[in-house]
Amino acid sequence: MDLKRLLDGPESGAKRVAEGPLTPEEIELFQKEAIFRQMKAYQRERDELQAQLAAVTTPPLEASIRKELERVTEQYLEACRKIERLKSPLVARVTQDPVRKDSDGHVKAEEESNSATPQPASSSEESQKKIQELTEALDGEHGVVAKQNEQLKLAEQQVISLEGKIRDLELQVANLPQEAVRKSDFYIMNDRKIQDLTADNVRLEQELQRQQTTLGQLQGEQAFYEKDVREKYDQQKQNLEKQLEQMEADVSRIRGVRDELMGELNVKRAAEQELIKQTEALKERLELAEAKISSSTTIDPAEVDAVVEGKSEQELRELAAKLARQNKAFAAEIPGLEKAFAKAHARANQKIIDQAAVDAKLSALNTAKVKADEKYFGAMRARDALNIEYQQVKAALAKSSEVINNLRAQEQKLVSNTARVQRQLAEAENKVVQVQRVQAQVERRRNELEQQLAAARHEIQKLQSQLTTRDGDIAEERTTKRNLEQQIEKLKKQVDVKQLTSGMGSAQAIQEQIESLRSIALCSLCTKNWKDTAIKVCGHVFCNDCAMARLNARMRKCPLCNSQFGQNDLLQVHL
Amino acid sequence: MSTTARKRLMRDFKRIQQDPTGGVSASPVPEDILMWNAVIIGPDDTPFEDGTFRLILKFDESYPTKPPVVRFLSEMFHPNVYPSGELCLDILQNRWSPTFDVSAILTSIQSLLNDPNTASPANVEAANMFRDHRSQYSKRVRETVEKSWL
Repeated sequence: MDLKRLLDGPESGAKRVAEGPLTPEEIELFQKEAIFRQMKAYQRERDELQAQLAAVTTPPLEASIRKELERVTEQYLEACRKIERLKSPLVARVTQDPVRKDSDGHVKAEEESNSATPQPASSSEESQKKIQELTEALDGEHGVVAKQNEQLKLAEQQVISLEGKIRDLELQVANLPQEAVRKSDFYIMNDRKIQDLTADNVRLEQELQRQQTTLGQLQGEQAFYEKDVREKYDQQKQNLEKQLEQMEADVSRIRGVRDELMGELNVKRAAEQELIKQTEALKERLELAEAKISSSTTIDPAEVDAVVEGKSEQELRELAAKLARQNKAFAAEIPGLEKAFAKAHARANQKIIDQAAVDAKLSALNTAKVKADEKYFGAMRARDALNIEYQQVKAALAKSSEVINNLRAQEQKLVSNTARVQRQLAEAENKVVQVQRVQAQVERRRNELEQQLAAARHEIQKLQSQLTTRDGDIAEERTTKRNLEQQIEKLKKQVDVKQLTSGMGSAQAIQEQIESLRSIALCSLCTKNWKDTAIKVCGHVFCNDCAMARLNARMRKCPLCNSQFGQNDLLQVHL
Repeated sequence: MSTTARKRLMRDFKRIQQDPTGGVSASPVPEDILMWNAVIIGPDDTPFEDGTFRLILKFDESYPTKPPVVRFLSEMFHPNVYPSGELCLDILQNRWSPTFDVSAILTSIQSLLNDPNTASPANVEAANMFRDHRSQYSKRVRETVEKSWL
């Protein structure tokens, strides 16, 4: 601790005269004061908030002035608070303000010197004079120190104003990056949006491509199918038409043949009927002729008797002659008749043969007709079958056309789909463009802000460099101040020594001196034994008990500097 | 009765009374010199300013070879103080040296208040808040300061 205090500076190393530790009552008092201060701070905070409220309600034109005012008042209040704090005697005691201590010590020293002067006036005027001189020198040094303190304060004020400036600038800078950050958030959001949209875009494009490929496939299939169906249809239709034509030609041919045959048949029938009529007429004539013949050949005896009875022989003779003549004529007429009859008979026979031939022909024709009819019916059946087939083909055609229609509808749907997708794509592209524009804007804005930021940073760097130069100045001042204080300390010590050597030191001072000397000679670990064992590695000295205890506890490091040591590194020291 | 540890503690107490350190106070309980009560006043210009934080120090016979056990009695909001009040401080553990005395320990704790080590936090919330939301951290610390007066 002594070392540390020495490093901290002479002010903490100054002797504390009659300053006891903090008692619980004092701590309580300190707490009360702290609470009072805190209350005041809260009051100030409330006032500030009210002022802010007022500022919010007042027009914003005065805002900057108001802010400035607030800042200044804040600083003022802070300073007030500090002063108050420093004024508080207890705080002074608690924190043990070095300045006060210094001045106290100094005053005390002066007082002592003053009080000491009359007593040994006779014994050591020389030393008295020396002391006087020294105190004068001390006073002069004090004046220099005060001056330098003033300079220091001035410099500190400058530093404070510079720090205020820096704070303002930092505030500005802080505002800027905040905005930039906000912007960047927006920017990031936009970026994400763009990414989403592009992803959508890609997805939609893929979908579109897929749809288009399926569309193309379907169109190809449709065209192929259509072609196929149409070809089949045409082919079948042609076939059927050809068959139909053939059938119709057959039918007409068959009809012509039938008509012809019917006509022939009618002619034949007419001829037959004529022939039958002729034969009947001939038969009639034949019968007539036969009857005539029978009447002429067969002479009824009764009739002859009747004719003969009434008449004389002459008359009978005449009659006989006449009859003989008639007979003769008849006899002449008979061969002719017979010839005619034979002729008629032959003709009748011929007619009958002819009739038979005609009948045979008729029957043949009938069979031909039956055959033709059969053929006709077959043709009709075939036609019906063809008709049915035709209907079927028609139905199939209708079905296929339906299918085609379906396909067309699908195609239309697909087309509309693609149109929709393309529209979406266009929209997405528009959006992307928009977002990119916004992004560009944001980027521009960000660049501007970055430029501003860079300018502000530059300013800050300048100010910081100024600040560092100021700091250096201050440090220099401080070192000079410290040096001066050390000189004062030395002078004081010299004064003390003088006082001691001149036998003027109080018993208490001597006691303290002895105590401090004792503490140097006692082991710093147990503060009980005299130092008698040194560690050869680092040169630090302790008592043998502590050193051996450390070695035995296997903590083989110097308690002061942590350097490793062993059993052989201990050295007996004789003070 | 008068062991090395007790002798050393007596000397420490004498030292503190003769040579009081700024902003800290410590005294053994009347009946047991191995048990000390201490008060640390929060350092100026920090959120801990004006706080009066109470601690208890437990020594054993191995002092000064071994460090004492130190615990805050006041509620603390600090990255290196456990909710139980125990401290995470290197010089009280592996970096202990017998040359440290009571006032050195208390001064170290006082300087730890405003200079926490967030690398190995005992109170993670406080460490995160100290790192990321300093004003919020200060507010929480002020609350503990106000509680320390009660």
